[in-house]
Amino acid sequence: MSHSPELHKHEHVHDDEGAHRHPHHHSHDESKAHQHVHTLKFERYTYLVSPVHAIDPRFKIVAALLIVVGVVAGQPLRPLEFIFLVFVLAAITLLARIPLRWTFSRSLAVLPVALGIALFAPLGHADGLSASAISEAYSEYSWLIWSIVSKAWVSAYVMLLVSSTTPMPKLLKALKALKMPDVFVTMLTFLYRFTDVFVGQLRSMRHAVGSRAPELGGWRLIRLYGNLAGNLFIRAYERGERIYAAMVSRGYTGVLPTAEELTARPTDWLVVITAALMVAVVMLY
Amino acid sequence: MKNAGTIEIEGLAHAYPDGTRALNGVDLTVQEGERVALLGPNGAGKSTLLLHLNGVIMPAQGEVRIGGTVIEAGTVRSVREQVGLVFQDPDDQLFMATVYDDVAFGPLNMGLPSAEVDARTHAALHDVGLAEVTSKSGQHLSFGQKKRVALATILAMQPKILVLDEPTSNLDPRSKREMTDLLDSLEVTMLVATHDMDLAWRLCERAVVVDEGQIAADGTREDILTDAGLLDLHGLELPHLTVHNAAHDNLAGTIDG
Amino acid sequence: MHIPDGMLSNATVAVTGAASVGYVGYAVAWVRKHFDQRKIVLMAVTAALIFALQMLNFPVAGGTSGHFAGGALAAILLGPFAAAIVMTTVLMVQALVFADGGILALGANVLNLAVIAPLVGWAVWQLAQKFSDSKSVKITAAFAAAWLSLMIAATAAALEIWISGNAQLGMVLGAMGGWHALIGIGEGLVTAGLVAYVLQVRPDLLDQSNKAGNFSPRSVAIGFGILAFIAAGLSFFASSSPDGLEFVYFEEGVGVAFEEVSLVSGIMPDYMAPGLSSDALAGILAGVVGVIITGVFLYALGSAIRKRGGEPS
Repeated sequence: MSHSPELHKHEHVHDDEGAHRHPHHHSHDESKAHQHVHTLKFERYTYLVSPVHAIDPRFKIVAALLIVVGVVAGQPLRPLEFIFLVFVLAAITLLARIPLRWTFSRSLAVLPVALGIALFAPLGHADGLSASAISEAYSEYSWLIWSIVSKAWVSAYVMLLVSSTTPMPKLLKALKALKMPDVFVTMLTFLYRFTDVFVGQLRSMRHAVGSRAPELGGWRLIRLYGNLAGNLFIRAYERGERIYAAMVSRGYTGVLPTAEELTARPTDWLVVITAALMVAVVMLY
Repeated sequence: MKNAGTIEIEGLAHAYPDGTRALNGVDLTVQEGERVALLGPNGAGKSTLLLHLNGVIMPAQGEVRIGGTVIEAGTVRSVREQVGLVFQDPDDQLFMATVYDDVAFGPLNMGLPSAEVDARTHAALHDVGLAEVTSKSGQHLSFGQKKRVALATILAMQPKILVLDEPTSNLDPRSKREMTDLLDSLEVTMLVATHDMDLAWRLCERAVVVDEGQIAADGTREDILTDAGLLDLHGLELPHLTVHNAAHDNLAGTIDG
Repeated sequence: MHIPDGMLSNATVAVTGAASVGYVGYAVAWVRKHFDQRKIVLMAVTAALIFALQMLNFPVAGGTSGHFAGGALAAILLGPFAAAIVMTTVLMVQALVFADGGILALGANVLNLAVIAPLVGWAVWQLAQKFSDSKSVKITAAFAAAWLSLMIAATAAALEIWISGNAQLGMVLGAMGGWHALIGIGEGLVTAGLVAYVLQVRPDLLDQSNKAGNFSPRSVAIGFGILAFIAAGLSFFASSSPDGLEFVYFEEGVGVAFEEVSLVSGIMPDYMAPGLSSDALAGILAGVVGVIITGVFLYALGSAIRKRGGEPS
């Protein structure tokens, strides 16, 4: 009997028994025992129950990649295609019971860099930098700006959908099943598990500095961050040694063992096929 | 393995990289089913001693035998199935993506069939009172919960001997009591390094004091844990329980946990 | 900065992707062979640490802020191959969860920040070690390693965007270079600060990773070689058979204009290698040749210094 994923789902819709409104303080200061359970910011909606959450994560990843490759590697998006895509993405978001505003605002993170480059892209086709050359380039190649920004955004949004509808542990299992090398799975697991601990330690060190040397700013402060980082590195190193001791104490042989196996359903195949069809339509039409 | 749950330490010595002696000739025997409190000031060598008990550190001098078997490269794997070592910081022991994976880690590495792994994992989490957090990850839990899950990761391996390093440190009073009760309910040989004198009193019938890498005292809890002078000499204090009860009863044998 | 999707041409995506896969694949094999489990746990906590450090923003100029990258630091602590794996992990998470960096662009971002940046940082660090054992030299070297790693990674990114036809060369080089020259100072200070602290408290940790990094120049040469070989091979492929999508471009009016531009030699005649019809390809080859030359130079310099120092290799 392989472990059924159903055992991990809860009856009610929202199961992270502690998503609080208060600002997170992840100070894993060993002397404090804080009572509530809390999730990391990006995990906020990963434990919901919805058809999108239920898709086998391997298939979700493949479907997402198909869409991203199709959109980004293809021609610039025409208005109708873009509207169609936005409609589909919004529909998926709603189906996943995730607030549109939340994913949308997170996807905007891509804009500053994309716009920053895109706005000057037409100049790449200018015949020199005279005023006439510039205006000529912009009249002929303004579509380039649109192409870059729209592609950047669609790609970002699609991947955000995947990561916000899949709990990280399941995502990791999917990546392993999709043949990602073991060393990466180990890296990602530890990243997921321990970043929070380190951020908390960094934060409390920063507060300690702030309260003892509030005047420090600019480059001096950054140098100080380096020292804090050094302290943190040594502690992280020693923690690594202890983790290793704990791992071998429990029989670690060098490969992280997995328990739960992912099982695909016919719907999952349908999802991938639909994604592929959609991409084909967008690309060929 | 005859008398599987026994620990025999003979002439154990160990030095830190900078030369200071962590352990300076330790001899200790723990019988099957015994519960021994390991006391001593910080830096006395308690943690180093514990790490020898499942082969994380190999003796530089001397010998450690578990259930009669000497710990060495060839036997270390099976020793680790007999001796469960629970570390002080739970963040060092919860390193998988979910609590379920953490607790299943040990049984999986033991090569058990998946049905067995699943059963043991759920049973261990249930025993520590945390059946509902399986899909959570370590950083989602409170400190007290983490301590309990860390214990569950070892219980799932069903060891004959349980070695614990400060199981109640940094816990609030209620969690301390819960952990003490939890440990009390287990039927294994136990060696507990602790500063929590009340835990030592309630849980263990025998106490060993380690100081400067050597065994300074070894006796029943009545002998050791009520000897204010001895405890003070080694930087320890009396358990609150004994102080309280001594004020009302006479010491010998009327004190209950 | 992490390049988002949409601004790299398919050819650039393919070439950088192949180069990254090749190099990182080699790095995985190297780590599997040379690192024991204990070291891999160290790699993993270093990755988490670098990721945590990246959450520290530092103000650069007028309200904008940059964040720590960590390529040089990872290489100083773990050597270039382990650093590649650590940085790739961080980049993957950023692309997937934080919309920082594209998916198709991952190849380029890995190439810049997980391959090139650590290699440059590590090379500077190793060279400084050969010259002097003094602490202040090491700390300065750490600063220089970090700063240079960012500058060269930024240059690579600028070139990739330019080759894709999405920027004017002078502008993008200037913008990327200028921006990262400034951010590089922050990166350098954090890296130097960390190294200074560790040298003070646990210098053995740095020595240990040095041993990991001080392996045969042969491995490094192989790393460079794979990079260059794949890039060159793919460039050759691209020139001899038309990109399927380029055909589609032909059908659309838009595509025709695009085709004309790629074929026109006017943009950068100096970079055109004889016998090639597309200067974009010439640009790629120029980059590849540059990588090979840099690699050979660093290797030669390294071995020459090592021989002079009389150290066993």
